Amino acid sequence: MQALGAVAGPDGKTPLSRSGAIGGLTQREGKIYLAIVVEAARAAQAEPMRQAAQDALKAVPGVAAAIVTLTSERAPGSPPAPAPSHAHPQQPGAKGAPRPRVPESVAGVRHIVAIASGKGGVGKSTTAANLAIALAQEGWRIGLLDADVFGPSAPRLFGLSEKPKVEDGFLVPLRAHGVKVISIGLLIEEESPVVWRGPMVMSAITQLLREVAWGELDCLIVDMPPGTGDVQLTLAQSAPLSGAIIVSTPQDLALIDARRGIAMFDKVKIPALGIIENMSYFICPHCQGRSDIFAHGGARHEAEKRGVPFLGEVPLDIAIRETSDAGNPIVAAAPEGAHAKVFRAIARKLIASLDAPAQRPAPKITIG
Amino acid sequence: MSAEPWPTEIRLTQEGRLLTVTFDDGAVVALTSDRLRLATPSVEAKRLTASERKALIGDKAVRIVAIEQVGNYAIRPTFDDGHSTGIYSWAYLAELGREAD
Repeated sequence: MQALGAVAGPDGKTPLSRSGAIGGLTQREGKIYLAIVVEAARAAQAEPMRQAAQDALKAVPGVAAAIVTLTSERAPGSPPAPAPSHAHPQQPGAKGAPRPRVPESVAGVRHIVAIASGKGGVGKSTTAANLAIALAQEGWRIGLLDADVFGPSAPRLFGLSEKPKVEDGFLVPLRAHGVKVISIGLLIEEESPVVWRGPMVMSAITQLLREVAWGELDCLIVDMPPGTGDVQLTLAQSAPLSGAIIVSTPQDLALIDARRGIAMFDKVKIPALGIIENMSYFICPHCQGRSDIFAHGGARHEAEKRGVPFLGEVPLDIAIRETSDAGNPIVAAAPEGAHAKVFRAIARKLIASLDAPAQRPAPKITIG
Repeated sequence: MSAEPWPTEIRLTQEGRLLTVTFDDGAVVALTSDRLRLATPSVEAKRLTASERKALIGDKAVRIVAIEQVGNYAIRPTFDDGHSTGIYSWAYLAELGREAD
């Protein structure tokens, strides 16, 4: 730290060690890693400072190697997410002062909503895809991030197979049914298994979140892998989530896990925006008789008990399954059909609750 | 929504030595960087007893050089001694404030 006192900071006068521009300093086995925070536009001018700091650290006795990197906060002028109305004006006096970080790629995204389930097989991805398309039909600009790294299903659901392009270091999402889609499944072969250890999963998720050119979106739907584990927590910690929607079948066995899902989001202060009951009932195509295969209304009761909004019931229907497998989900295939209406109603409820001011915005963080 | 206090503003002043948190119930909590460093909720430090903490982290003066927001529920400050693994939730900040009174 003392060595840096001799190096001029971003403004050319104040010593670097006192300029407040140091984003992080780590020391490991004689190696020093230092991050200096500069505005993106000033990165080129800051290069001599970076070099000077690196040389100064290398000269310190006992230091085997020093690596100094420049990092920038979000590009100047881009709107801070998630709520531009709470934006505070950029302080021109605080040159390169550290600001709260929001991944640049989601800076233009108004809401991020996670679709989760306590357990697998409840139709979460199908629901996420249909809901995303329904939201797009309601006029919202929608992105879908398929974060189910072990069983990515968005490529199949949206009938996508080409590889996304990379522009300026950002992945360009593909477009289908009015929704921008990115999935780990677009980057690997459909048949190849994903055998990943925990840390790899988390870095993949972080990349999907930070290195995709989403552009301006009203809502980014994140299709979560089932369960309550590392991936869910990583997402909850690295993205400013507006809330989570839990998908469950009505049977008790599934509801137990749905409860766990709600509890996990509660721990990280992410509000549960609601519960969707999938495979709610079955209308026999031959006799039109109705069977409640997994019982019925369980999710509604659970929602009432927890004080969480109940968003709707989606029936078990062969048409939903067939259209989903064919890459043309029911809301896109039959936008005026009964099933599409259910999803449209859910979408409208979601829009209303996201635009309600009830959600408490994250605090304003001011430095200096 | 729970009735827990929710911060509306977090302000770092005195060259990173004072963190002032304003809560929506009107409470204002002022925490020094030294105190926050000593009370770090990071896992490495949680294993330590109070006296070990004091000995290891000590009374040396530290400054906060950066604050990163963690999701919707916490902040992660970086101290100039290199420590940056403590995640301070809103509830924990409020608790530290109550202890200070």
